Amino acid sequence: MDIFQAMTPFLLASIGGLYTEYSGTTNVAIEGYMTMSAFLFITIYKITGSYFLGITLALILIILLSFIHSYLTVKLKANSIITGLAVNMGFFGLISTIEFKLFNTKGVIFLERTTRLDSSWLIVVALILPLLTMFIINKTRYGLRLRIRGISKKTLMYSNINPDFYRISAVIVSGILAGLGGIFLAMELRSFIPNISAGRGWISLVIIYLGRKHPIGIFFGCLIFSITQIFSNFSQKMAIPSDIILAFPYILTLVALILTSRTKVKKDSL
Amino acid sequence: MIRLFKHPVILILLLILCPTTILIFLLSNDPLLSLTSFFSGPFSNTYHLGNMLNSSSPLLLTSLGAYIALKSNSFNLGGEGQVFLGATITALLSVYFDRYANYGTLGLIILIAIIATGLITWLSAWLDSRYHVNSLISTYLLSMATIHICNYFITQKFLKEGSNILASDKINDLYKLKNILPPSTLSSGFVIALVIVVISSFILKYTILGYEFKISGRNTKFAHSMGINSNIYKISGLTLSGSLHGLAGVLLVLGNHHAVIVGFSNNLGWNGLSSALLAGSKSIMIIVTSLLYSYLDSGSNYATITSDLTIEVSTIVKSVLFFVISSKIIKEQIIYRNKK
Repeated sequence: MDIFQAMTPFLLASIGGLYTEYSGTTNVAIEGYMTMSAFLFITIYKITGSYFLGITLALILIILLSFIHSYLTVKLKANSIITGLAVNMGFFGLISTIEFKLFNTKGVIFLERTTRLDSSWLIVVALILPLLTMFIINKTRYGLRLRIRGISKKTLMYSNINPDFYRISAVIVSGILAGLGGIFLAMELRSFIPNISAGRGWISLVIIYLGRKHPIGIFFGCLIFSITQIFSNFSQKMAIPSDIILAFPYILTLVALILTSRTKVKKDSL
Repeated sequence: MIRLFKHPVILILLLILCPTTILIFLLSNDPLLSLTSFFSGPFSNTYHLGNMLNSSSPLLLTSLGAYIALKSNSFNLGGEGQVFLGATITALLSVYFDRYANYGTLGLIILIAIIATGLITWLSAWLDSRYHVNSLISTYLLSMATIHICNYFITQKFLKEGSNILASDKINDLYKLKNILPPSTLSSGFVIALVIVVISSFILKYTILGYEFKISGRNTKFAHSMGINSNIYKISGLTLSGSLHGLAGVLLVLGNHHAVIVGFSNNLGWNGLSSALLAGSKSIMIIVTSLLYSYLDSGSNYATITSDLTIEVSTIVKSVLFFVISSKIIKEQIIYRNKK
């Protein structure tokens, strides 16, 4: 069960990122969306006291934010990586500003100790997601057009299909899924911490490349990363200092990237 | 009149003014006080002006570093880590070898810091050319890892005793850069940074070396067919960018804080990147844009002290700016049409 728990945020975020990857861009703002939705969920839950309202309102706001992000990026013809970074930066600014305004703190927001948040349904959603994504991408009209958007914009334009719709919707889907990942993290901790996603958004991006942009590959990528995470939690009990453990996922990610690209080079040379 | 509004500088100033004003009116209970302290705060006295200029001196170097990486057609997203690595090496080595404090040692320490940061980005560039690992990702990952490892050395090995912030001991007085505008903290580092920016933009603009460098970044195939070894320029561009970030870290220690503090390079890398993007094609514009960015930061710093704003206002304004400066439409439709 531990491993599924560790896997869920990675799976949600990286499968979400896969949609933008198919549409031909990279959503660098996954990290920001995870943190933002965790913040929104905890804030709304704390104010209204309703579990259902917390999730729906948080997701609606995330949809709105990701729509603004992608609409502006497409319409202004901006560089999507830079706007993604801008969204990350702006979200962190917004979060601490709103947090300071509402709770007069820039740190952790706690819920009451007795609150029980049922997060098991998100684990199930995350585990079904790769298969569902495979179905959507390969069998439905939306999925096929999404993939074509990534390959050639002109094909869609000549078929009288709005290409911008597919890019914008892909960013929204990835925003929602990354948001669910963030909400899951917030539920697990029953609180909001300023750096709650702790690099998971970035690692999810790398998992997409590791899994060769394929849902099943991504599933195994998530598996590897959650095993290393559990291992690093385990090694915390031993004498390894925490800063070194924090550096570990980044180094591992880089090594994984090098190893996968190396095989690619070999394949080409054959 | 309308033509005047379309001038890039005016446009950018408007784009800073509008979101800031809106944000302040939304967030503050006393908007007028906050507004005046945000915009006029940095110029209110010598102290604040000097501090603003001082905080811009490492930013000048990071902007130049990011600019050079951009010109060699690669992104250096690891500025944060490189600045921090440069600062950590300078502070920790000068504390550790305090017994041998003289200018020769200082030179050696600075050299080590520059080489180490250069090596980190060289690794990214090499991985890019050898294994096709995108330097955009590898620079970021390496920088995050270095930040954590540097934190380890500061907090576990060199932590100042009895201090309530996570910082190392102060460096030797001999190493501190001269203060040129008391009572503020403005040090001669500002002049050094300015000179470096001017010299490098001269090299980029007027020498064959700079020309070849720019051409191989802009069109690799053309450069290659003209007999320019564009791969070397690409790798050296990223390496140089890392070294400049490291030098910014050195200045941060010698001129601003005199010690290394955990998390004190806050946003220097990102600000450098965005001010380099803002500078566009002219490298000398880096001076203007870096000053603009530190003006925004110190404005929000000042407003935090005097009114009820939070320090993150400048972050939000900067993220709006990011959208605008990376936009092709605005460049094509407004700025270039204006030039015709």
